Amino acid sequence: MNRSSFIFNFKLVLKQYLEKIKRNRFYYFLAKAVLLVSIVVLMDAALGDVMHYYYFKQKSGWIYETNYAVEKSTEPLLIFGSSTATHDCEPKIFESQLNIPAYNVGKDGHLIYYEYAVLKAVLKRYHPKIIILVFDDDELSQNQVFSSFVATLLPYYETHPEIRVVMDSKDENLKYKLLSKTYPYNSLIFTILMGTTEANKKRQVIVDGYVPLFKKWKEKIRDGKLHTNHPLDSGKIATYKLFVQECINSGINLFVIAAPIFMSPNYSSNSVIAGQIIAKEYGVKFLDFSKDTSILNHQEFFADMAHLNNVGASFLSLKVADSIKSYSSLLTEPSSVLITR
Amino acid sequence: MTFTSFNFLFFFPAVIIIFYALPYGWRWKFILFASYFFYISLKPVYAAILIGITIITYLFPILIEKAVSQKRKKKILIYNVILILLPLVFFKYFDVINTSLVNLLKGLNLHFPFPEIPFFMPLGISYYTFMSLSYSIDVYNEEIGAEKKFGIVALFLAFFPTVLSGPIERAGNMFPQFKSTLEFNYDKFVYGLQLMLWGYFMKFVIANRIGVYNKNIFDNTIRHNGHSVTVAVLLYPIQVYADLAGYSFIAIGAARVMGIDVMQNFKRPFFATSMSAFWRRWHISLIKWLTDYIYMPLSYSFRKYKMAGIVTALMITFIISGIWHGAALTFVIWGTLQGIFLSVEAITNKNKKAFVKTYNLGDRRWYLVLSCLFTYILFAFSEIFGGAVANIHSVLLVIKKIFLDFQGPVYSESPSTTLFLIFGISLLFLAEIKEEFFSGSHLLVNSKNVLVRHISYSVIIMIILLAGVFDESQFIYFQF
Repeated sequence: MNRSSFIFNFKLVLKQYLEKIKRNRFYYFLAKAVLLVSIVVLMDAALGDVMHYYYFKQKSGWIYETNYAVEKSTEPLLIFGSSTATHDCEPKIFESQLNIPAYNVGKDGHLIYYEYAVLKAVLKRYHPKIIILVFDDDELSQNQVFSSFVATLLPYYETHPEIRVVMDSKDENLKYKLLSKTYPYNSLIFTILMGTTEANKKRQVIVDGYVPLFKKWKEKIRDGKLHTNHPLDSGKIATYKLFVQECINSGINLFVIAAPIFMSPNYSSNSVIAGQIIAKEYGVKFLDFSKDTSILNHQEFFADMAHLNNVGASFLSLKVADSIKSYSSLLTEPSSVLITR
Repeated sequence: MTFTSFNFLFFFPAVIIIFYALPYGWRWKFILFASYFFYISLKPVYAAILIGITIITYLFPILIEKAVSQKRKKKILIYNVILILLPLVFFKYFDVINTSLVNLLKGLNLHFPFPEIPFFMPLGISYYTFMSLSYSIDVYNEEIGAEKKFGIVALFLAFFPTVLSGPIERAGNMFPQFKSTLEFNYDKFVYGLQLMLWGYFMKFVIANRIGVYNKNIFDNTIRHNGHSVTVAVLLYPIQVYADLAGYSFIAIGAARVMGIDVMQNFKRPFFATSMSAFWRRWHISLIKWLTDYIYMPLSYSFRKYKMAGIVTALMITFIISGIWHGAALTFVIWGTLQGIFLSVEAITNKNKKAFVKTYNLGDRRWYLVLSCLFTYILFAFSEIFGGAVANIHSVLLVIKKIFLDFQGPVYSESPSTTLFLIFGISLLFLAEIKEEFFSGSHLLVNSKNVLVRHISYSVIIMIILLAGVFDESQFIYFQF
């Protein structure tokens, strides 16, 4: 049989076969379903690869900061926390006061689960000398708004087993969901676009992870009684304990600080109280600035009710640095020495 | 498990494969089994209530049919209605009745708190209660015969695509379908999957995304200015539409994949040029139920009062609709508002028609667009009472913010979130415009070219993966 007759026969057989399939509507559907699944898989893989490429190519902005925290940070002083960390703590001041390089690895809206996952990634690479964990008013609460936020770390799931463990504990189906190559970049397309075009630089100033706010809060101090004090979340408490334990085990000097909140002192956050008790239990220094009148009496320090502006951030950073300095004789020792019973 | 649970991704294909692998006679029995599995997966105790209602729904219509006199039929129907409504009243309204009684007694200086019963309302109870009532009333009215097979009645109420959020189906439509051979129908199958895909798009890409924004605003109204609150109020109808209609599309699609036709629940409501037109396009199955079983009998009873009778029937119907939505004063006001809107339209209808005819406004595009916008704003405003915020104090705060607080820019979580919002809503309206005005055209998913169709499906799936909000909390940044 020559080549052309083989092709002719093959075409004929294929044509007959396709017609047979077309006649049976169920098989016809199955054939089309296979075609659709193939297109979806191909498209997903291609789009996932493109997103992956641009995600890890970012040189500034929101994604870059996540990437820096997880894969690139080398500073001996790291500041962890949510927006209270990113807006309230200025690494340059810690650098000048404590003479060690510092970086703010905090992330807006990302609480203890995210912080713990990032800590695990950092500890895999090196052990910082000092860690400051800035405690949010809702750090350990059941507030649905601040639920988990570990999804931000989905792009690291495959390459970072230490992060994978934390994420799997939050969502047991994650390994199946991540069969999709696009899913890790969910909700990130516009952020990636802005980072790639560097449009984010025009929008926001970021200095070593610190994001200064320049506005001044105009409203009068809020009555603490009116504020919703959410109940505690046992999962978050357990993760906070793990965070503290990891620092102690790694010989890191951990300072937990409660960020100031522009509210009358008759408000006591459940999270802050629990955080304080646990810190004491583990012998870790907990510095509570949530009711510090040297800050609360200066409305001009606040950008909004929960965040300081650049002036307030400098003031708070100096105060925290001073407090850390007061323990300077202890800093060379393992953190377990910093017991303040 | 719900349609948006990860497990549903495995449950549904498994059900479909087994369903079509079974002989015809077994198919409806298998859907019944799958439906109970689906419902029990939410909370096993819920199924006990559903079974109880099913038994009543099965027995009473048979008794009604067998009753010899009209008087006896009526008596059985009344018992039936009371028994069916009892669980709904208990689970939905016990808390409100309890609190009201305690407050009333307090006012009389009597302190006698009733015990608090910690429970969750069984999901779907409002829907299957209405379905059960409609079946009994239809048998009473001799529109359909009483079903002798218990399994068919059980399937009617527990049918997994509709059990949680409707559409509120009728026995007359569903019973014959359940009893049919339910053969594989390629066109129905594919159309069902298309509807499901679009439903997921609406739910994940639009409803959940707006939900993130609105949660920020409505949970912390005091911290936001009037502009942001106004934007949230205007977005809310789209959120509810994308959520409810999205859910309905998934339900209708899932049923159609099994060869079962379920009634349409939404018909592009934002193209309605009046409130009466709006209610013919919004939550159609509920409105049809209310029209058939409440409005029509009432307006028939009040017919001698002419317009006053119509207005009374409208007000009563929509107040009941409000109470059905939730046991709170806000929902009663919501229902009253709808009643007022429709009554005003009914009263001014003749004059309006004459006015439109005189100035030839019926064909003017600007007039139609303005009418759509006016209807939308009326509905958006009423929705402040219809579940957008939790209680009457929050409603008043929202209204105060809208009309008195004009300071500051509109709140935006981040440019990225705003772009996602605009993107999703634009796609929704483009699709709605295409469907409303160019329904005959074969674009993208309706293209005759198989490759274009499949690439279109794939693109929608990619958009859901990239722009969907699967866990609202994942992407929220709470500003304060």
